[in-house]
Amino acid sequence: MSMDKKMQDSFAMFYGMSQSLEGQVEPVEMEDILRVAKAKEVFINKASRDTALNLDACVNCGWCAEACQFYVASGDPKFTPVAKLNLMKKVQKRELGPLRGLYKMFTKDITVDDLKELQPKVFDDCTMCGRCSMICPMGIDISELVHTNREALLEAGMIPSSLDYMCREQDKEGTIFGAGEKLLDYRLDELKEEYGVDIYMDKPDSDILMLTSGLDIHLFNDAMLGTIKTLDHLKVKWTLCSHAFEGANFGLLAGSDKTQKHSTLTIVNAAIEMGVKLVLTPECGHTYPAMRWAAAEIYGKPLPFEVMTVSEYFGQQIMEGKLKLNKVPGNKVVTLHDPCKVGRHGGVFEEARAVIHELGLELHETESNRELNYCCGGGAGNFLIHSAAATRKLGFQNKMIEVKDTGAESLVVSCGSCRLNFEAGKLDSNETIEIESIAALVGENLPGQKQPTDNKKVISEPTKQKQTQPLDENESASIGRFSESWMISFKKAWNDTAKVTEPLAAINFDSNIGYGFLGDDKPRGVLQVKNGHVVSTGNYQGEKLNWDIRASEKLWEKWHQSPPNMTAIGLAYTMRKMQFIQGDYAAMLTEPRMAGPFIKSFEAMSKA
Amino acid sequence: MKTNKPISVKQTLQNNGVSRRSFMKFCAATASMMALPPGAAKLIAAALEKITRPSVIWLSFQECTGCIESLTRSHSPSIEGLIFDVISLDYQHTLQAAAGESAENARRAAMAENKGEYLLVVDGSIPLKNGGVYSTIAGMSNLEMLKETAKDAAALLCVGSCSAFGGLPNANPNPTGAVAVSDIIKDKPIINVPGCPPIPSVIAGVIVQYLTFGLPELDHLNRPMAFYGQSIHDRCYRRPFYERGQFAESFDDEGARKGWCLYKVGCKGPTTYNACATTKWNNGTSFPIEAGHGCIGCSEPNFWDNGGFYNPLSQTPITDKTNLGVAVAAGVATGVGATLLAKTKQNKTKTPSSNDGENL
Amino acid sequence: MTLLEFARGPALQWALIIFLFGIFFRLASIFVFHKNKPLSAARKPSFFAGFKTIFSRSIPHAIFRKRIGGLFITSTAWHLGFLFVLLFFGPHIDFFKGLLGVSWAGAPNSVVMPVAGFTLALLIWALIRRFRHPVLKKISNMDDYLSLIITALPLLTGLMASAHIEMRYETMLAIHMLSVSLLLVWFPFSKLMHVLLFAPSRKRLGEKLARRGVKA
Repeated sequence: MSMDKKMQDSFAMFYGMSQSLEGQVEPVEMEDILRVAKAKEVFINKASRDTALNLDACVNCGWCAEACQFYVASGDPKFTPVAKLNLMKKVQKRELGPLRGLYKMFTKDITVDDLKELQPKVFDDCTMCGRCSMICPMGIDISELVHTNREALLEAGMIPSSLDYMCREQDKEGTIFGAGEKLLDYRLDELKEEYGVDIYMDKPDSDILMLTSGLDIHLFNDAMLGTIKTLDHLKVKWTLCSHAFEGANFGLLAGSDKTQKHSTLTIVNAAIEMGVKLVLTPECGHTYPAMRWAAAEIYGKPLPFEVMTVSEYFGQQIMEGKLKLNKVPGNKVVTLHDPCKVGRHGGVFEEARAVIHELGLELHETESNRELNYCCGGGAGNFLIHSAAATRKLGFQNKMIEVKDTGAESLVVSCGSCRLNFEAGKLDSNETIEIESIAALVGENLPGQKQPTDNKKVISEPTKQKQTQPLDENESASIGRFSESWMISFKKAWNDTAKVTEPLAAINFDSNIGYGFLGDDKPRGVLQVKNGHVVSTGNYQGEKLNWDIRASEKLWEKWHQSPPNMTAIGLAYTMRKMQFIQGDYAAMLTEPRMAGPFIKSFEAMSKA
Repeated sequence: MKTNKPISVKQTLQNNGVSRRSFMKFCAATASMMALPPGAAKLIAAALEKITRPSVIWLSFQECTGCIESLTRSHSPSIEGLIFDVISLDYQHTLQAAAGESAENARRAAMAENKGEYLLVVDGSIPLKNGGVYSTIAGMSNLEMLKETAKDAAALLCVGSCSAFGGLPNANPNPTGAVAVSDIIKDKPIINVPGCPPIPSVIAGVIVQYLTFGLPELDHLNRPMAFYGQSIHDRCYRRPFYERGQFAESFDDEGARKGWCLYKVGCKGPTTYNACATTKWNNGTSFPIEAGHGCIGCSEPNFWDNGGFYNPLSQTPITDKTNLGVAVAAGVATGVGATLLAKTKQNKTKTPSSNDGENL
Repeated sequence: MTLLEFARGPALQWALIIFLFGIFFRLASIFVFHKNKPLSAARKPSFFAGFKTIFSRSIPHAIFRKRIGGLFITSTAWHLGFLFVLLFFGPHIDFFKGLLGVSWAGAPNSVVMPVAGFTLALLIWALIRRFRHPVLKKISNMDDYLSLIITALPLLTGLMASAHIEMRYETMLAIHMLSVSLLLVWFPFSKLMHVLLFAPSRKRLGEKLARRGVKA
């Protein structure tokens, strides 16, 4: 596995939380008439020559379905790409087309039910991968029009709850998954300590602005590390920016024009202020088009800097002979996945291949590759949409057929979202292929480094846990937290909270959960949960635990005062302020949706 | 003048020195023209011999006399000429000896004597404008004369395209208000024998058919199916060239000299029904296509106004192209206007969004 | 006025007027909208790439042939067949000569008729398929069905006229011309406009992709 133990556990947590984002924000309240009006307003305002041309050019030939990963995998006509645009076509004809008078007379207007039906079509059932545009005999840019549909639904307050959550966070905080400056610094310190890399933040007179993403900060540190190491190795003048490091753009994914622009301009303005020549986007699919193509439009004129993604930049350096890499021993057979947004919509193909060749890996291309490749199945934020799980699986299975045909040992990809989807897909299938990141591979095979042996990466042991002073008995006794009586009232609070018990009962959640303090060698109190309800509680008696949750007293107190949400838990976990001495990660992977009620249990705890 | 007493056709033929052989030849020729089996010749002969010569009144109205010329102009006694031995032509402007009042009296007398039995043959159209003043005979308008004479006729035979469909006078701009016989007479059986002129043997053949078999099978334009049942195109000897795509593109070009199909120089053969391609003209000498000129469709209604003799059938006859230019301009104007109006719906500050089309 | 005179004359004339009006009406209604002009740095110039896509898109990428190879052949065949009959049957060439003033060599009827028959068969098959295939059933509307039928009618009536089936020749010819008038009138207000729209639509995609360094 390309993921070490630490990353595997982090992946489990991340997976659990990412599947539990629904319901984290209240749905948008709006009159139905207003929803319809707002959606129509988007369709009307966004109409351009290209839109009108594309919508009129469709001849309903149905070929687009034959290129769509989901239709190919399932044969279900609901996935037909152009069917997703039927509502948009109708609005165009009724509102802007030359015969709109007649259409208005003889057809009914769109309704909020139409919008409700539209939502899964353009969020769950489409990753906007664009493969359909490659087969369409009329050359219709279907994915771009699907994006417009997302924008319409956002204005109508009808986007999936999980994307709404992400978008609002990015709009308000500029971060995703809570990965703010604090977490970034934490992670960078960790990397500095462990690997001795030079990391620059807000360094003036830099040529390259490196971007990263919450996904890499939380989970795919190897990609981040690889990028940093290679930039150091190339001896280029690079820097991160403390107030503009998030490359991901949930405004774009959710369909919020406002948030997309806001996030983009944050980066553009920082890049200009710092006078960099190149903005380097991380291994993240949609970051690339957001910066490479859309940013100039948002800025209003051509950007005064170049934009490249990591695989593109490193590949180019290799092609120009400026970067040499050690060869990975063993003539390992790999295959390459071109991420849709970097490949088909980005034009980065040969650079990634240059990296693979330079590494001495034997590349077996999948049958569909480059601009015709199949999507991983999990793009455009659909990874966060639980109702899209079955569809994602279809995409994964479809992709795997071609991957397996190559006979490769590893699947190399330069996009965190794809990586996430591949790893998740492996969970409930028989696939065991290694998933590797280009940035990580480059970073691991820079000349002058310790060579990995037998294709095993350098296993990085989890850092020494940040030691905190164990609480003395008096303190804990006086506070009473996790004492027997305290646990009893916790039990009551837990069982009284339907938002905890009901979802857990639905997944037959049985677990022994211990609670305690960092630094102690034992947890204090234990809850025994059966079918989502706490059946018994008491002090820790040495029983086998599924979960052993520790945090500092200060943190427990803070959470008692204001219960943590998903983001806060995620942050605490990544920064190791909350630790699982014992973690039932396997259960989390099988039932990721336990994360939601699990986090709500902290809310219950605050009532104890 | 009193008409002859009814004597049989046989008797008449004998009196006029027509040999039986000639008569049989005539019957055989007529039978084969109608595509009847050989035995029919005897049938025709028997029928003709028995009957008494029927009275025929021939009215000529707004016409060029081409039809009667076609029928009678021959430089040697023709079989067609024999028809006049079979019928009793009691009134015909060109052929009769009588003139003036006596001619009209002869007509009325024949009408009275053969009331309900005489055959009325008409050639020429009937002008209606200004009380029909554009063609009068003996002070009577054609319209009046037609109505008066048709009243007691057994059937009407409209010889030539003018009486059948209106013909040349009826063509654009039709200054005399010319109409066909069938536009006026509605209550008598009408047989149209169109053509400009009709083939002489067809005229004779129709009469023989009528006398032998009664009213013949007629098509939707009241033309006898026996002679007008096939299109020129379907019987044209040049048809293989049409099928092979070999056309004369202009007169006297290579294709024309090789005798290729004349479709492209305006032949209306496909939509013209007549016997020209089989029976031909001048005792089977030739017909227009064989002579190198496309069929002008003269046995069809409105053939004068059907887009020109030299424009192919597949070309629309209306050639005014300015309409089309206006259509284009109007389309652009209304399209632009309608869409500019639609654009006002778009919010100017938001539209289109700067990053549209470039998000993915 | 006989049916044939009507079909050849006023019917066709008005059909042509509506046809031209409608086409320019529809085209104007698309091209008056705002044109997107990208500001990002292009990887490659895309001017000619757009034009290239107009032609290259006519042949699907090899990877798709597994799934739509058969469809590609039949759809190309019927389009070519239709064009062949339209442009290379002698009398049709005269029709265009009358309108446009140019003519060209035609093909013998022994070739045109079987091609017409084959093309008509393909259209009928396409219509049946549209009723039965799950994807097409889902996305097809009246426009799709009617366009197929209205396009097939001239072929059907033309063949019937040539073969002297059913009615008198000039009636069938008139019906054939009327079916052409119907096609002309239907054309600008239906999906048949793709005959004109395919080019700009493909061009735009080709441009967008080419400037990004992606082969369309």
